[in-house]
Amino acid sequence: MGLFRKKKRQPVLTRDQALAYTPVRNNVVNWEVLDSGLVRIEYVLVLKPLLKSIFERFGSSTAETPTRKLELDELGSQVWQMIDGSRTTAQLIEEFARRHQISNQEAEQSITLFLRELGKRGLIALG
Amino acid sequence: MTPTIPIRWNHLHFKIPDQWEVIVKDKRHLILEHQLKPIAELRWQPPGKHSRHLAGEKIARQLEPGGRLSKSVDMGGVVTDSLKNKFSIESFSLADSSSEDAILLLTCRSCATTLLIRIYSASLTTFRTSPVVLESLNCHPEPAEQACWQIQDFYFSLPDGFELERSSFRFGLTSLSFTSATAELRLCRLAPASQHLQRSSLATLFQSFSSAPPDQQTAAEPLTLHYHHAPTLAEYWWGRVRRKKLYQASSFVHFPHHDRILGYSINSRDPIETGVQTMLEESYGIIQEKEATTGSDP
Repeated sequence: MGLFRKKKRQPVLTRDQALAYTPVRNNVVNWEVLDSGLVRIEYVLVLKPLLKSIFERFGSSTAETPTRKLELDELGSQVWQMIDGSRTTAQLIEEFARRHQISNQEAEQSITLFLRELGKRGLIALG
Repeated sequence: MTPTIPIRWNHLHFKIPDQWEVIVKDKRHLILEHQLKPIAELRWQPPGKHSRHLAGEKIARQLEPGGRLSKSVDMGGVVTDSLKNKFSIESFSLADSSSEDAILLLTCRSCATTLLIRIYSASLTTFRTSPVVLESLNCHPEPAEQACWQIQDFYFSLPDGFELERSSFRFGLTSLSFTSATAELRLCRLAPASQHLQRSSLATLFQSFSSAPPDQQTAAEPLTLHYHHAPTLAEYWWGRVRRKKLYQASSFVHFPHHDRILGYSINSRDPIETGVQTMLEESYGIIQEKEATTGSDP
């Protein structure tokens, strides 16, 4: 009865683990810094198998995989450029807090939320 | 001597080294952190009907679900004589737990407030070498100081009768909400102000905070905006029927040197006393760097 079997839950990271990881950018992702200083990211949309089969059936070849462009705001652009594979999440938070003269608590909330969003889109991974 | 910062939150006053940070988890639950690593947790309860042991157990259950306190003789070397003079102290460890955290149950000798302090095992040495937190701990400050609150980098005095309802510490926006029998008080701190002001004017920010229409805002000084609203007689009676708080007094102050904006807004069913407004306006501000490093009072 595999149909009704509960899906195994993904292991949840503890806060300490999440802070110790180093976020790294996905190499496949193209990004550029615009004249305004903001970052624009172009990434390939990861399709679910069902959607992929529909795309293929209705003429879209696999070579033309759909892409998306994402323009980050000022703060997002700063964080994206800080994600260079040399800083852990904790270091990112501390540096961001220092730059903006805010508390670590405030910086942690916004950065973890931002990293989670990037992770969902496959733009970064935790190393 | 380590520079310290005073913390005043919900009747609990203490000092922390200036490199530490206080994380507000709840009305009576604070976490002390250093470089994003928790050092200690503080929970407290005002004097109630429960016996001291029951109150401690209750807090321990919240600290660790299913956790039970078992008495421990070892105080971890963190208890000083001055602390013993202010509080009666019992030391515990969490039964069924592998952690070696020190748990202190303090009961104030004056007001019988129960405090539960959990010091993480990795930080016990820190507490031994710098006992400033425990030595400065005070749950019944002087009457003149009772209304003082200080968290992050701002301070204010709370008028009589108000109790903390909720708090939020999001990126760039700290907001605290207090209620009394007839009024609601909201305080906010925007940081960094320059980034907020790049996107919107001070008047627009003030409007989004207090619903004060820009044409009714008054500028007492270039960087200070005020708004007052008193209902008409018809509005007043209609408001009474619908239990609305129609009297409003709000203020927004930009502190360019600190890159902060502080604001308050009080909504009341009854006319707002001038003394309350004066108290709020005169008593809130940003902690000066110098004060923070020396630990002096604002």
